[in-house]
Amino acid sequence: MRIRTIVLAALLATAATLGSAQAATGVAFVHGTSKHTDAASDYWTHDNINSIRQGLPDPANYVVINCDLTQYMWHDDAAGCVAGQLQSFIAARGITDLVVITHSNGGNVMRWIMSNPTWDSRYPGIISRIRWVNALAPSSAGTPLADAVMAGNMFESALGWLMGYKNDAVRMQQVSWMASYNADWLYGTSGRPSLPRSFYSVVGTDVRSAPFTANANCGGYLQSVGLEFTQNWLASCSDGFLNCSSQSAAGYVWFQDTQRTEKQRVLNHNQSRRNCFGLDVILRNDL
Amino acid sequence: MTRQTITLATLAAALALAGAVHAQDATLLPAARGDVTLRGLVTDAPATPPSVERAPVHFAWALPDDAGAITAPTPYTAVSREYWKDVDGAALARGVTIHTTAPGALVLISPGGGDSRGVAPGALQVRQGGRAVAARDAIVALAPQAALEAATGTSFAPGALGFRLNPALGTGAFDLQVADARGRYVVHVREPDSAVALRVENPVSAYRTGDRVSLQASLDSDTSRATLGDIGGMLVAPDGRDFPLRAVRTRGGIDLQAELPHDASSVPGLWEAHVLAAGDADGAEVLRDAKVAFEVAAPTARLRGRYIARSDAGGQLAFDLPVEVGSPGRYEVRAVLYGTDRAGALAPVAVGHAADWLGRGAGALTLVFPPEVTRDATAPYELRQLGLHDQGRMGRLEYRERAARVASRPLIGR
Repeated sequence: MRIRTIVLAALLATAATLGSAQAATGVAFVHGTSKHTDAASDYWTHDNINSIRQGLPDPANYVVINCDLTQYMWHDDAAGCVAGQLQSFIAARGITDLVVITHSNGGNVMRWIMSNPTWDSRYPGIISRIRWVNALAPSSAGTPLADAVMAGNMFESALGWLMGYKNDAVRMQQVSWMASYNADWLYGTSGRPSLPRSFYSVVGTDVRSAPFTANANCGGYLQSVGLEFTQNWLASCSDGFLNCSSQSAAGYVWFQDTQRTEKQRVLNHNQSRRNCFGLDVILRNDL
Repeated sequence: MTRQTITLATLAAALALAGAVHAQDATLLPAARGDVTLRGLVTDAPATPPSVERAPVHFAWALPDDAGAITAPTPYTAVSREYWKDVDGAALARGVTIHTTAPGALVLISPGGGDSRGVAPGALQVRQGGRAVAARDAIVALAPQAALEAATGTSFAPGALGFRLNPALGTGAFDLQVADARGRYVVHVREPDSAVALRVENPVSAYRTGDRVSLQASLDSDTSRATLGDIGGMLVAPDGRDFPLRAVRTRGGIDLQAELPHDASSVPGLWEAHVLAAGDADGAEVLRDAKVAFEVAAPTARLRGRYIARSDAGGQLAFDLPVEVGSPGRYEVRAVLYGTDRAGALAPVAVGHAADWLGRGAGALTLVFPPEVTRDATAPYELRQLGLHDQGRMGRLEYRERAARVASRPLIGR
C-alpha cells in the first residue's frame, strides 16, 4: 500500500514539477501527551531532529510543534494549537508537501484533525498539504496504563466520585474512551472510513531493560527500568506503554521495529522518539 | 448586507441556474434497525464554547480502492482481569488483603494526594498465609513513581509504587503492609494471566440524554467454573454527578441498568460506567472491576424534511440535507458516498463532511462531492453512514446506515 501511495505521490510531484513550481517539502514534529515550550530539547532531542531533517531538499523546512497535548485532542490548546503552528509554518515556508511525524498521543491529535476537517476552517488547508503522517508508536486504541493512572487518581467518597486528576489526554487514552472516539469521531480504524491522508504507524514490540546494553540505554536507563514493570501490565507485544494492537489500530503499519532497525533492535516507548538504532535514518530517507 | 454582497449573491444564483444543475428532491430512506433518529429536541442545551468555529466548511476525499468494508459503530465490550480498592492509611499499615487467581499479579499502590504518604519500596512487606515473605522473594519488577513516569511520560500519583508479586508464590490471598502508610490509597491489582474475566458489553456506542443505559455483564473463565456473586456500580457524568446502576438478572445473564438524566453535562468528556463485581472461581474469591465509556448528547438537532440531490455539468454531486435545530450551535453532517463501479456493484467512493453554525428552526447543510473524489463512479448512488453531529457540545445526534438513494443522475431542475 505504501509503495502504491509513493508512486501516486511521485506522479503528483512530477505533475507539479511540470507545472509552474516545484513542491516545497517540509516536515513537522508533533509530540505526545505533554505540554511543551521547547519540545525539540525536551522531547525529541536536537540530534534526532537535525538528523531527520537532512532528508529534506531544504533542511530549514521543519517545525517542532509546542502545544499543550495534556488536553483533550480537540481542545483549542491541543489540535487548535497544532493547527495554528502548522498553518503558520506552511505559510512562512511556502510548504506544499508536508510530512508529519508524530509520537504517541500526537498521532491521535493529527487523526482528530484529519477525521474532523470541518471542525476548524484551518483544517482543510492543512490536510490538503499533508503527504502522509508517520506515526511513531501511536496510541490509537488507548492503553490500559491510562486506565491504571486514572484509577490511581480517583477516589470513591460518600458523595460520589471525586475527579482528582486533570490530565484530560490521559483520561482520553483509556481503552474504552478511545473505543468510543474511534467509533464516532475518528477515522482509520477497522470498519471505519479511511483518513484523507495515509497514516503509517511504526510499532514498538518489546522492552529490553538489562543494564549496560545498548538496547536498554538508548533513551535513558531509568526509563527502561519503569518500562519493565509497565510491560508486564500490557500484552506480550508492547513497547512498555502501548500494546502493539493499539499502535497498529489505525491506518497502515509501516513496520514493526525489528523489521527495520539496526541489528533488529526493539524500540521501547521512549526510544521511538529518539535517534535510537537508526530510526532517525529511516525517517530521514522517507522525506 | 452590503451592496457588494448582494451583487455576489445574485451572480452566484445566476451561475447556478446557468450551470445545467440537475436535482432530485426526496425524503431520506426510512430508519432501519440500529439507526439512531431523534423524536424530540431540546431548546435549552448548554451553550457551546465561544471558541467554536462559525465559518461554513465542507470537505470531501476519495476512498482508496482497497478500502475495507465500512460498518456501523460497533459495541464495546470491556474485559477486566483487575480490580482496585480504596483503603485508608491505617488499614494499609495493618495490612490489606488482596485476592489473586493467577501467579504474578501486578500491584500499583497510589497515595491519594493531600497528606497521604508516598510508598517507599523498603516500607512494603508482603505476607502469605500469615507469614512475612522476604522482600527479595516476594517482589519482582519494582517501579517507583519516578521510573513509572520516565517510562510512560505520564504523571502517576505522587509516591506511587508498582510491583509484581513473584510468580513463584502462586495464587490466593496476600496481605500487603506499608508500615508508615498515612492518608488514603488506591490499591490496584491486575492479573493479566488470569483465566477469570469480567465482561461488560455496552450495546450502544452513543446515547442521548433521557435514554436508558443497559449493560450486559458476565464472569467468564477459560479453565474453571466462575460464578458471579455481587455486582453493581454507577454511572459517572463528566461533571461529577453519579447515578446508581441497578443489577437485573435476565435470561442471558445480568443487566446493569440506569436512566440517564434529561440535563446534559456542561463539562466536556465521556460518561463512564464503573462496574464492581465479586464472584467465585472453583472456590476461590474473585474480584473484578470494569469501566465502559460512552458519549451522552442532548438532542439538539435532527435531520428532518426533504433533501435535494444535485449535480452539475462539471460532475459535482451535492446533497442539501435539511436540519431541524432545537438549540443553536455548530452542526455537521458526514457521510460515505457509494457509487456504482464498472462491474455494476455499489462501492464506497468518497467521504464528505459539511458543517455550519445553525440557529433555531429549519436549516440545511450541504455535502459536496467534487468530480475528483467521485472519479469513475456512476449512478445509482447511495449516501450511507450518514451522521449528524453537534460539534460544539461533542455529540453524535443521529446515524443512518443507509440514508439516501439516487437511482439515476439527478434529473429535476432546480
